[in-house]
Amino acid sequence: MKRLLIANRGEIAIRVARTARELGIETVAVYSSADREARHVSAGDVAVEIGPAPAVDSYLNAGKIIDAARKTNADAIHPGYGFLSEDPEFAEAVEAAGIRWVGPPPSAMRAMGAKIAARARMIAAGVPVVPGFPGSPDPKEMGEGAAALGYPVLVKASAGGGGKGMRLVARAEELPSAIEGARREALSAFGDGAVYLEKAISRPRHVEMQIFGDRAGRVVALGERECSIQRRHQKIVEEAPSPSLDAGVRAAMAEAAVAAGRAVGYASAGTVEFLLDESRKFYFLEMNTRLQVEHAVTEETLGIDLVRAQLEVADGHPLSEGWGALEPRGHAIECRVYAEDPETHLPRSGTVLAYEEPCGPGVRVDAGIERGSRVGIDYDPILAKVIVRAESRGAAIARMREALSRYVILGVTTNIPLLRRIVASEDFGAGRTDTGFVERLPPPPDSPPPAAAVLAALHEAGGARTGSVSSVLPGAADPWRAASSWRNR
Amino acid sequence: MKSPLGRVTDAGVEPVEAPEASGAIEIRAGELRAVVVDGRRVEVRAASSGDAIFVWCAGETFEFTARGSSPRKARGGRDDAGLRSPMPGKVIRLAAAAGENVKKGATLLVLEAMKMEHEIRAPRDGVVRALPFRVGEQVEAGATLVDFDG
Repeated sequence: MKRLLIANRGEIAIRVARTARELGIETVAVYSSADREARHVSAGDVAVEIGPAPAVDSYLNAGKIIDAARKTNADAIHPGYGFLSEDPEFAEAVEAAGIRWVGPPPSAMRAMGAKIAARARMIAAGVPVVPGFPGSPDPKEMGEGAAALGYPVLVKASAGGGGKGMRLVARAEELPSAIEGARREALSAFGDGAVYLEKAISRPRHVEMQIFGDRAGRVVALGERECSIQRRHQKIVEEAPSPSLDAGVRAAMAEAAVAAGRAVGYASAGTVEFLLDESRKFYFLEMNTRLQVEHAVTEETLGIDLVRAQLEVADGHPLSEGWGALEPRGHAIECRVYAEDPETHLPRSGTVLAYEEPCGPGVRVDAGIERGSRVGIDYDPILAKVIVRAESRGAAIARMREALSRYVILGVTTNIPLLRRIVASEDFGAGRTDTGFVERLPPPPDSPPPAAAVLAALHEAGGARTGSVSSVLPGAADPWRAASSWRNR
Repeated sequence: MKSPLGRVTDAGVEPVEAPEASGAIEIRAGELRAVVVDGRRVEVRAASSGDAIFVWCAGETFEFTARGSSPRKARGGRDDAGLRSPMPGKVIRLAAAAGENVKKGATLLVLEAMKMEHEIRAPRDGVVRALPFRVGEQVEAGATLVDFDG
């Protein structure tokens, strides 16, 4: 492998390029017209514009990406996560073009991509699955299926993920409109309106197992990640190890995850997601046939580089011998920083006017933005991930609290205030996390800004409009005079 | 004491009282780094764009406006903003009719944006006065989707 095209944007494109450079592999960045000045563009040795802002015309356009690879003589493509990463047709087209696909075999992607068929396959492989009903075009049969499972039930899209095409239904009369809404959303997001039903598990925890396979058929489990803290069915805080697994459950879950991977001939990095109920029984939920956003948590606890392993396996190398018996060292937590309102969770846009990342021992920031970055609404609003590692869970929480309080992003509203409240909460400290955590979190107190913030704002306003501020400062503290007295220190 | 600043929140712009403390400002390499209030040093960063002033202060972020308490549109409120479009999108369903009495939490309209459906719900019991958009219409962020009385 000499030159790798990274078919993605933002933090993951930059993160993949970093490892490629370590291995002496050149990188090709791709970007849409909306991303001409994006940070990931300069992460590549070469950059190619692939189309206009809408993802379907750029990052989701397989033809344009393969053309870009041909034009730049790239001999491998890494899809990152999202976009085309779980599209088996894209993977096949890449291979058909004589380019190495840095990901699982398309057949494995296909087997896991259709959730209805994947559930049946997991049952056959002896992997426990959430009780469900495979779905039917007949509303009456769906109603009977739901009644047999017992309400509440979840309506889920067969092609779904990330909460898209999903509805929680508490009562029979809500089922028809939920099915209709889920179908419509699934059809528009994935081009496939098939939906199925799952029993809704009360206060579930979301625990997933990282697996990795090579082309020789070896599949290993690389430990779990606890991902229960979600908003809008998307994860925002992840950690490893999970505070809710004991050694017995952990070993059983690892075994089930490896069995799931083997059942579909898995290779490369993949994640088997499980729900853990209140009695600590776990059920297969789905498999993500790609590198996860939260892969860094596993990297930090195990001291490995999953992207490096993906590139090596794609280049035909076997999995490192020692990977069957890795033990986590300490504890890692990841917080996802999104451009979104910390309370309504709705996406926000803007220009990053000031930017400073936290740093220090055990602090890693994988970011896709920098000062001057324009954050639009064309793509997923993830800006960065803050990952910390420390010797214990308690120490990791303290490290994360400090890191979040040192992350300066001005000009774009972010969810950092929400992340700080989560990390500081008593429930999080005690490991009491389930998927309803964010909804139960008490709202923030509405307190006036501290004097220091107001003085800073007055100073900033004064910088732009000279002379309008000093008169309002009591105690005759003229900020400009004070500033000059500091300047020579 | 009154200040020329307003603070931008979800509910709108609130007037900002100038602090009763005396302050000194620490600048390094031309950038604001800290404010010393009553002898205590607090790290700050500030940046502005047009009327908007953003301040990071000891881990928290604040948005002010240089236009003070003069009227300015809220950036998307907690209550009635729920009836405005949170982002650009497309109206895919009208679930209420003009003149209809609705209960708090009732779905009034469904918007599709970023490939997700967003339900616009009644913030409290009330009456739907008008639904200015038709199914299939594109809406801008901040557009009023439901004229609601409650």
